[in-house]
Amino acid sequence: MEFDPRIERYFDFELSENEREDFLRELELNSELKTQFDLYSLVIEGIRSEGREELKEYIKSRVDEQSTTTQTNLWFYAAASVTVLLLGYFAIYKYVETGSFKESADYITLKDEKSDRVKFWKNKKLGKSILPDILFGNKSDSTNAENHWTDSLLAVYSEPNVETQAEVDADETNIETTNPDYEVASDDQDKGTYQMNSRMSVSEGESAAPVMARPSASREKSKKSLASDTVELTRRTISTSRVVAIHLPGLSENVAPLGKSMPSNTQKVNPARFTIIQQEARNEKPAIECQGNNIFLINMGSESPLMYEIDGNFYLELGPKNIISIKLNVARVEKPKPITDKKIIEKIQPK
Amino acid sequence: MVREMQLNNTLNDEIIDRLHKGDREVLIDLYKEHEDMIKKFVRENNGKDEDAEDLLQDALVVLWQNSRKPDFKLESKPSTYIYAVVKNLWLKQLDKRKRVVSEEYIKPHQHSETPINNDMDLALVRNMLGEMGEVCQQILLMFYFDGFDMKTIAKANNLANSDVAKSKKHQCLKELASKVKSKFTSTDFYGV
Repeated sequence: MEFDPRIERYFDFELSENEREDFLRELELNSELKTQFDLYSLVIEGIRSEGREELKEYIKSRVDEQSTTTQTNLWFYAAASVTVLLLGYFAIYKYVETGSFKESADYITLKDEKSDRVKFWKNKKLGKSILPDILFGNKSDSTNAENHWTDSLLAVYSEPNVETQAEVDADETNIETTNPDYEVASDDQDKGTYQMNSRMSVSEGESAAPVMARPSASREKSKKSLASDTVELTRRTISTSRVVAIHLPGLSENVAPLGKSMPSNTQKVNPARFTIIQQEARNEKPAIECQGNNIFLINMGSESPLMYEIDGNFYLELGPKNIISIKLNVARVEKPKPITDKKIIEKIQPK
Repeated sequence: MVREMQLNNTLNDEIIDRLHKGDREVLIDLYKEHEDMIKKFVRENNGKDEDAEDLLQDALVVLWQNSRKPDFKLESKPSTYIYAVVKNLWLKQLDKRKRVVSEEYIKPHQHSETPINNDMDLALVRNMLGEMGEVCQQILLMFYFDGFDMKTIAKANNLANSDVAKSKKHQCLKELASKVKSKFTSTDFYGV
């Protein structure tokens, strides 16, 4: 039997009232038509069944998805709340400790006397909360020094001029008050120490007090620990009026200040001070601008530029094989090109 | 009171509008809005949360399908409508469960004289539908389940116009019927 188009029209509600009545009447009498009708009835009901199941599944999955998202959000908000509370706690802690909310960046300078290299290391691992103790031995000692940890800019100290003094009154307070950019170190002569400078404010007139530090008790062990911590740290023979420990990972010794006694041949270091300021400026080409002791890196994006002093020249390490020479007497250098001097590169980024 | 009615009407119009446009997300919104209410009702009437979830899904499917019928009007609040559908479905289910239990003990193999498409047959049709092309599946589902008109179906399936869509629908339905028929013995369906 040929397919009767009325069947489809019946299910599609396209038959008129009269047509529908005639069709239903015939359906009762015509078994073949009835069979066709049953088949189409089954097929259309099957399509609807599929649609129902598919839509139910859609609703279920969307509702599950949203409840999962809500749960995730709850966890997110819980975690965010904890973070905010912790940040609040530390902010208050800092305020109580130092009276300043600005303290946020810790930088350590390590200098190798032999190569005269100074590496400024952004201290990510040493938390501010432990640094004062580490750098200054104890809290009472750190009172003055802490005041220098007051901004988030990377301040760079170099020590181009090293003077030797037979005897210097190395009273710490004295040093800081009489010459803020002045640093005295004392240690056993000829024994390697590590010099660590720490950061300070860039505001005019505010003092910077780089602090000499070294691991004392087990120097060799400390050296290995530091070296393995990717910090390029080399030995230097200097003297310091105070000896404090550098608490780097792997270094367990925490050496308290050894007192104010000064060895006979104290070196006087008069650091030049630079501040590296990173700027992002629209429509400006990458450039380096030197204004006094401020070095502006304009659109020179680098996470934590390191500054080196080699043979009286200054270099900025912005990334692998991306070392820029800093000319302090040139106001602005546009599109600074990385240096190609293999010797310098090798020194800064040894293979 | 008048203001509340106006608000309800506005809300209902918005829901109906979204339903007409085929916005399935309105069902998710309604689900979340009524989930607690339905669960409470089902719990109080010997059901579990799973039953409530299933019923609410069913009720929303009913709303979805009915919403495209020409004479559909959401005169009451959506919650009243959904509650009524759920209640009706749940009572049917409870009644069915009772009957199944009693039939199992009294008349385990009684057959209904009314030709009803059983679940096995429907599953077969669904399988056959799944074997068809994507466009055919879409057209058949959109027409027979969602109740969209041919103009909408044509647009959704990148067909030239509603006549083309209708012709395509006819072909697809015939193809599906043939596929299904081939799975049955000659005495089940013949002449197609």
